Order: sequence, then C-alpha cells, then structure tokens
Amino acid sequence: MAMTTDLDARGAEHLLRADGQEEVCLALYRPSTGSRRTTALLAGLVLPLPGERTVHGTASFQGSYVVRAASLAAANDLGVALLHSHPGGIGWQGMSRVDRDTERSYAHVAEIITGQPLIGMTLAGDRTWSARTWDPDRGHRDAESVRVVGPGFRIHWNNVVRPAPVVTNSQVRTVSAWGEAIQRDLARLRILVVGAGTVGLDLAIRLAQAGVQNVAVMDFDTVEEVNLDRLVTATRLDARLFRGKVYVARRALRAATTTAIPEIESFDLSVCEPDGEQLALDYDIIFSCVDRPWPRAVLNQLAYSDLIPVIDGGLAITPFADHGMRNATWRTHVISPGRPCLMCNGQIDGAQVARDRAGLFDDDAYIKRAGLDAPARENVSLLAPSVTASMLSQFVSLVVAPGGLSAPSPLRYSLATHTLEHLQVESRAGCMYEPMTGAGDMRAKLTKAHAAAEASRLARAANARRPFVRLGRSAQNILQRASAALQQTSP
Amino acid sequence: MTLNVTPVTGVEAFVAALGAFDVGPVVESGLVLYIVVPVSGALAGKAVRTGVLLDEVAPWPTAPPHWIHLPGEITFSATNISASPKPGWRSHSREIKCWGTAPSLAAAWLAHVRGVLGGAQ
Repeated sequence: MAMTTDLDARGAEHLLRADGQEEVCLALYRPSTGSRRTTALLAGLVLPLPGERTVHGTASFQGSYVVRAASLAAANDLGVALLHSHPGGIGWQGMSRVDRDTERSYAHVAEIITGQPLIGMTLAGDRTWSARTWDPDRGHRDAESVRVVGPGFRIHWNNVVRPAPVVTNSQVRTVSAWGEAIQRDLARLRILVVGAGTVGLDLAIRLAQAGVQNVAVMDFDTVEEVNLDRLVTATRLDARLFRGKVYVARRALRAATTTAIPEIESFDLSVCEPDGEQLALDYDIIFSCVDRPWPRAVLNQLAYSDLIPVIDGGLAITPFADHGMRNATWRTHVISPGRPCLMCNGQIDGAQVARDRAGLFDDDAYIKRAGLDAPARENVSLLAPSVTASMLSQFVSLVVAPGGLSAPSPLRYSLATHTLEHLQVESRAGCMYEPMTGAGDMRAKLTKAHAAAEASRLARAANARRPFVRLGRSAQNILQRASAALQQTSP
Repeated sequence: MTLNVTPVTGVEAFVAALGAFDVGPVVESGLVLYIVVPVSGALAGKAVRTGVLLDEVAPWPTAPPHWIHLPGEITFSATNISASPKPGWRSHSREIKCWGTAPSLAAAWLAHVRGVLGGAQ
C-alpha cells in the first residue's frame, strides 16, 4: 500500500476527528503489479455526502455510499478502499470483529463492481496506517507495509508480516547513531540498486553493512579489465572468467552483510526491460546508479507513477583537450512526488531517451554518420566514493530525517572550485512525469527489449562454455562456498 | 472527490493529441500516419503524409519519437536513413530539441516535423 503525503494529510484530516470519535471514508486506488508483490496506490478520497455515514462513538455508513464509490472506481479503472480510524490506537492496527465483519460484507460487492479486491485501511491515532486486501471467499490478507511518499518518506510496517531483524553485534555502532527504532524501520526496507558499477556496488555494500536486510542489485553488464580500476572487490580473475557485475555484487554483499537473515538478490537485467521494471516494483526505495538517459527515464517515471522514491546521482568529468583535468562535478537528488523530476532538473532529455531507447547510443555506425560524440567514458575511481557518499547522505536524510529535516534539494559539488550548491530547481508547469503520480500499471510504456542487455548476456553465456572459463568458474565457486562456510562457522 | 486523474499515454494519447490539430492521424503499417504542411522549402504549402513507429510512440509523452518516416521520394541533402515498415518509405533520424518545455507537446512535435520538412529537396 502506498500514498502521497498529500493524500495522507487529507485522509488524516478527515479520519482523526477533533472530538475523538471514530470516522470512516472511502478511497480509490490503482494497482502497481510487481514481480512478487502488488501495491495498491491510493488515488483519491471519496468523502461521505450528508446521510451516507453516521458517527456515534464508532462510525457506520450506508451501502449506497460503497456503491457510489465503487461505481466511480469502475468508471476510472480503479479499485475501492474502505478507510476508518482508531483514534486511540498506536502503531499497526489489528481488526475488531465489527471491523472484520463490516469489511467482509462489502468485499464481494466492491470486487463485483470494480473487478479489483477491496482494500481495508485503518489509521491509528499516532497516524500509523495499516492495510489489508480482501478476497470475498478466502478472507483478508494483511499488507506488509504502507508507504507515505512525497518530499519526505514514511513507512509503516506490519510487524507480523515483516518482523524487524534482530540487531546484531556488528551493528552496535550504527544503531548508536540513530537508535533501535530507526534501525528497525531502515533494516526492513526493500532497496534496489540499479547499476552495479563504480557507485552502485560501493553503495550496495554500505547498505548491507548498515544492516539493510533486503538489498538487490540489477545490472546486465560483464566485468572487464577496464573496470578493475574502480569496481570494488572485482578481481582480474572475475574479468578473465567473464563474470557478470551482479555476480561480483552478490558475492560482495554476502560477505558484507551484517544482518542475521540477509535477503541478497541480484538481477542480470536492465530496468529498461519489462521484466526489469516489473522487478523494480517490488522495492521501497531505488538507487539510480546508471548514466544512460533511458534507464534514468524509466526510474524517473517509477518515482511518480509507483510512488517509489529514487535517489539518483552522477559524476561528470571535463578534461582539457590536452589531457589535463578541467573540473569534475557530481550531483545527487531525490526524485519523488513534490520534488522536481529528472527532466525538470535538467538531468535527462526526452529526445536522448528516445535515441537511447532506439539503440542508437550503442550503434557506432549511426554515431559516425550523425557526427555525434561517442558516449563519455571518463571516470575516476578516486571521485566515485564522493558520489556514493552524497547519495547515501540523501538516503539517510530521506529515511531518518535527522533533526526532523528530510532530504535536501538537488546538490551539486564542483571539484575545481570546492563548492557545494543547493540547486533551487522547480518542477516545470508542463512536467510530463508529475501528472503520472500514482498511475501504477497505467504508467507510460518506456520499457521494451534491450538489445545491448541481450547481447551482453549472450556473449557471457558463450564465453562461459569455453573450457578455461568453465574450469575457472568451478574452482572459484568451490573456493567461495568454502569461504562462506568458514564465515558461518567461525566464532 | 479528490481523484488524481492519470493522463492517457502511448499511441492512444498521441493520436488523440494530433487529432486536436486536424492532421488526420491514423494507425497503419505499424505507424501513426498524419499530414503536415511545411511552411518553407521545396515542399512549402504541400500536404505531406508522414509517420512515426508505434513502438516509438508507446512511451508518449515521456519520450518523443526519434525517426520520421516519409515517402522515399522525399530526400534531404544530409540525413541518417533507416528502413520503414511502410513499403516505399524510409525513416530519417531527427532529434527534437528541448522536449517538454512547450505548453503543448503535440504542437511542439508537429512544429518539429514541419521544420524538418522545410529542409526537404
């Protein structure tokens, strides 16, 4: 379940009454269908008209109110949600028998009219949301969490469905920085890092070290010798064995994780492929560590359409023509509803997204005929950790909100002048991503087959059949299994 | 009621947006075809049928099409050519500038195509 901070505020304004009585209202939602989870994205409130509900300590409502909301939902391809408050409640709420009977009694009619399951939601007095989905025949299923996404970020956890990981001895110093309550919330986040290169891999390792249980990486690229000056933990052997970057990432994350029951995942995909995008919908926060416009556009859209905050960053190095270094700048920004998108922020250009999507960024013949510059390849491993650090700072500000302050506006650091700027970027009046907020499965179709990703996987598979590579990989796997076993058994 | 209305996207949205400019958009041969009248160059004042691939319109409005499909007899002094699914047609690589800054994306797209056709021979 997810909603914008705007809808959270409006819902709370209606449901948490000044007189302390329970209140009720209906809402509409759109589905966001991931690979393993479906998220209901709240699209709007349908407040009761006079006579449609009665407040008498608790709250009751007429069936005609549900039919009105469900009909409105059906006309807009939406589902319907039934919201009520527990003014005296604290934290994730269970259901009373009356709550359960009421929601069950409307589950069938809501599904018949809308074709979508009824969602039940409860708002506690401390503004914690809880949610469940209804199957008219099988009963209800509790949600794992409710995200509230906007310029800030809150997530309300169901402690039964997703219990907080136990704090381990390795995390004592991290926990001392912000306390166990924040650690419990942060460690349960499902975080995807798109791009397991210089910045992405470093960043993913830090997240695993900090105790985040579910860290996933997505990248279709293969480790090459040219990567070894900056890809932490990658070895010459990995390059000789044509290992995928996600293989290196998975190995590094397993070694780095400090949580007792890690959920390390890796996907040999591009987020521009339909399967890659669908997997991305399973996560609560995404780090964008890719430099091409197409994947950044896909992630930019998900930040709005599926209410998954994206933390994006990049490094640009400008050399002099005579090979000297003129400057380096890095920028980091949180992309979410209420903040400017990557296009308004000047980080992606729609025309370049189209050219990248058409495969022309990898078409040398096209680039030569068009007289374009080849994509920039400059990279300095000594500067990449600065990008990682800035992105992680944005993440901590967004999730932990030190001093009550959430993530800053886009940041830009200029190496030559040693200046850090807070960029005052506004959303354009005609922004095409913001109107997509909460669109879920109705989002624009930016994904399609990705020729470069397919070619990379095919080349790696072909190389994996070579005798030296097969033998080398087998030996490497045995050594790694032995190393992992030793780590588990060591005192 | 405070419903966030989601904009329509993709081919349907592109065709609807062009329809508002009376350029007769139709889906045919894997393309959205429509009429543009250049205001300058060799084709000035003539109604030219042009099109874009359905696949390139799928992300509309988040990304504009890249290739402009035109009848084979329309040529340019300098161009990057590719094939077209419509027999006898070819596609030309042209990148629109400053995408997303105009109040009407469809108007911006049509102005771009008119500008490209202004350079036709």
